[in-house]
Amino acid sequence: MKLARVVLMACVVLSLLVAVVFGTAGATKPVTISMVYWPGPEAEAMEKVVKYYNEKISPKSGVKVEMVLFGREGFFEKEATMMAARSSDVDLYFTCSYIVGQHAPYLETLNDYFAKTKIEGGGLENILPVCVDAMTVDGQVKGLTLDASINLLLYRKDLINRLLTDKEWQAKYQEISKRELGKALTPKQPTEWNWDDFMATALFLSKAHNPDSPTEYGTALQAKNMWPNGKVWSAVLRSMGGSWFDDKGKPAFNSPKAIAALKLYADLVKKDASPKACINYEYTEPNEAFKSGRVALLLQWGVAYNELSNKEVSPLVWDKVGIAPHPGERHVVWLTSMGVGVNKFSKNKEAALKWLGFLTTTEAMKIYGESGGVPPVAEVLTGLSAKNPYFGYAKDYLAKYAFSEKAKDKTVDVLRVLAKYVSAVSGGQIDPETAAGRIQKEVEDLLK
Amino acid sequence: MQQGISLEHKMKYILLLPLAVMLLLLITFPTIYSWYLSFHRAVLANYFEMPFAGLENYLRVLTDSDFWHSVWFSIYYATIVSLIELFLGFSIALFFNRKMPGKTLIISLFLLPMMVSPALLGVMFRLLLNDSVGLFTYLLGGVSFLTSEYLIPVLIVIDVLQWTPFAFLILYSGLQTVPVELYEAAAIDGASPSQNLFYITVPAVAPFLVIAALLRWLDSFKVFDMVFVLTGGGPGIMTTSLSIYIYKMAFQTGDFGRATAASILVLLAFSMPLVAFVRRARRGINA
Repeated sequence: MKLARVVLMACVVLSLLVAVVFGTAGATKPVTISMVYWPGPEAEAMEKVVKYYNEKISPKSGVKVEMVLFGREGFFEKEATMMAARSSDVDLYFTCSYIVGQHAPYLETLNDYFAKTKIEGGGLENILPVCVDAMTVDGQVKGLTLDASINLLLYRKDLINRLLTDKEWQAKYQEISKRELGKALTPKQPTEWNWDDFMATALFLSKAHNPDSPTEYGTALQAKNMWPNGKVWSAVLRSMGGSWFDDKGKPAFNSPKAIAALKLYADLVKKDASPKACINYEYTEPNEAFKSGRVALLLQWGVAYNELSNKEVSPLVWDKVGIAPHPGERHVVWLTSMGVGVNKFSKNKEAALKWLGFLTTTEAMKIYGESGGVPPVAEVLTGLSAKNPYFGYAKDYLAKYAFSEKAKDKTVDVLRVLAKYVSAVSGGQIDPETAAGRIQKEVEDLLK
Repeated sequence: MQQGISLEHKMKYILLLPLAVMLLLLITFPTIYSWYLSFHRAVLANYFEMPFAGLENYLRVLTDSDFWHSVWFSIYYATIVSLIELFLGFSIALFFNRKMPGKTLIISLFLLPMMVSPALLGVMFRLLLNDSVGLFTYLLGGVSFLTSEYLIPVLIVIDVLQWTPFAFLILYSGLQTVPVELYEAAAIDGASPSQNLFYITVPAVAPFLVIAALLRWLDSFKVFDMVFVLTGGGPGIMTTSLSIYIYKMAFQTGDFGRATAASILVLLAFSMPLVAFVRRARRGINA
C-alpha cells in the first residue's frame, strides 16, 4: 500500500515535470516587431488594425506588432537619422510616395516576398495598381501603400448650384469673366471645369469683383513655403497639360504650361480672389476659411472632405461640400501614398513581412477604412462608400485621375524648390516667367 | 609634503576627467565630424560610402544666392530686434530702478514671455493672426498681418515681446550695481536727470549693455523655431534665416555635406569678431 502510494506520487511528480519541460518548449515566444508610424488620424486608424492583429492573428502567426509614433514635427528627419545610423531598433519605417526614393537604399524590396507568398484575401494584387506604382523605385516595390491621400477640388455646392440656375448671377459671372479673362464664360459643373472656369468662378465669388458675393474670396491657396504645397501646384501644372519632365526625362519647368500654372497663383492673389495671407497657408488655414464661409473653392487634400462635411465641426457648411478632380485640360488628382517599408537592417525581417502580408488583406484594410483611414483597396472603398461617401469618390478618382511625380531620391528637393517659388510668386516677389526660369535652373542643378 | 602636492596635482586632473570626456563626446567629436562631412558628398542615399568632394560643398554654398539672402536676413533681423530689445529693456529697467509697490510681482509677470517656447509662440501667433479665425485679426477689424508687407515687422514684434524681458533682466541687474553715492554727488553739483543718465548710468552699465547686446544678437541671429512655424521662411525666401537655410539643406534636401559646410562658414566668419567682442566685454567688466 505504502509502495503504491510512493509510486503514485512519483508518477504525479514525473508527469508534472514532463508537462513543465515540454509545455515550455512547445510554446514559442512571439516575435515582437516595431513599426514607426506617422502620428495623426492615419496612426489612430492603424492602431485598430494592430490591436486586431495582436489579439486574433498573433497566436497563429507568432508575430506581435508595436507601433512607434514619432512627433509630427521633424518626423522624416528622425527617420533619416535612424536610417543613416543603420539602426535595427525598428523593423518597419513609415514611408510615402514622395520620399520612398530617398528611403529606398534602407528598405527591403518587397517584390520577391509577394511573388512567392500566397496570402489569402490579400497580396500585392489586392492593392490599387496606382498605389503600388507610387511606392515603386526603379521597378522595385519598396513600400506598401496603406493610405491613399489625394489632392482635389472641394467647392460650395449651394453656390455653384445657384450659379447654374440664377439668371442674375449668370449675367454677373459673364460680365466678370469677360472683363477679367477676355471671354464671356457660361457657368458649368465643376467636374467639367477648365482653369478659366475655375478662375472666373473664384473671381465671381470674391467681394473685390462682386460685392454681392456671399463669400469674401473665391478660393484660398496653400502657398506657404513648405514643400508639401509643391504637390498642390504640381497637380495644377499636370492638369494644365504640363509635367515635371519632358519626354526625354529632362526638367520641363521653363515651359508655357508651368508659367501658366504659376500665373494662375499670382493672378488669384493679385486679383483678390485668394487672401493675401495665403503665403502662410498650409493644410489647416484654407479649411478654416471654408468652414467660416469666407471662401467657396479649395484645392485641398481629400481627407478635408470628412472634416468639412461634419455637422459638429463645420456647422455652417457641412451639407454644402461638393467634390471634383482638379479642373483643367485633363482632370487629375495628385496621389500621396502613405505606408510602410521593411528596414533593411531589421533583425526580424521575416516577421515584418508576415505582418505586411496581413496588411494587404481586405480584412485588415476594412478595419483601417472603418477607423478613418483611406485604404488603397477598391473592394473596401466600394463597400464602405455607403457609410462614407468620400470613399466612393476616392475609388473613382484613384482609378481615373491619380498621378504623382517622382524624381528618384530628389522628389522632396524638387517639391522644396517648387514651394519656394510658388510662395514667392503668390507673394508678388517675383514674376511667373522669372520664377519658371529659376525653378528650371535649380532643378537641373539638383539632378546633376 | 611633496607627495601631498603631487596627489593634489593628480586629483585636479582626475576630477576634470568626467567633464573633459563629456566635452569630447558632445562638442569635440561633433565638430570634427562636421568638418569631415563638409568635405564629402554626404547625402542620405550614400551616407556610408560618401565620396570625397574637396571644396565643392563650400563653393556651392558660397555661390548660392539663397545662402547670402539668409545671411543678410539673419544679420538684419538680429540687429533690429537686439537694438529694440536693448532700448526697451534699458528703459523698463530704469523705470523699475526705484522703490514702488508691487514691483516684485510686476517684474515676475513681465518675465513670463521668456518661459514660452519660441515654437509655441509661433503657433500662438499663427492662430491669433489667422485671417479667418484669429482673435487679433478680429479685434483689428479684419486686417490681416500675415501678408508680405507686414511679415517681417510681425516677426520683429513677436521677438521683442518675448525677449525684451531678457535684456531687462541683465540691465536691471547692472543698474543695481551703480553706487548711489555717484548720483548724490551729481545732485550736489546740480546735474540734470539726462546728465545723470548719460554721464553716470550709461557708462556704469556699459559692460552689461555689451553683454546683453551680444547675447541677444547671437540668439536672434540663430532664430529658427518661431519663424519656421510662422512663415516657413517664406514667402519665397523672404524670412529664411541662416538656421532655416541650414535645416532645410540638411533635413529636407538631405544634403548634410552642404549643410555642414554652411555651418562651418558661419562659424569661421563669426569666430574672430566674437572673440574680439568677448575680450572687450570682459575688459569692461574687469574694469
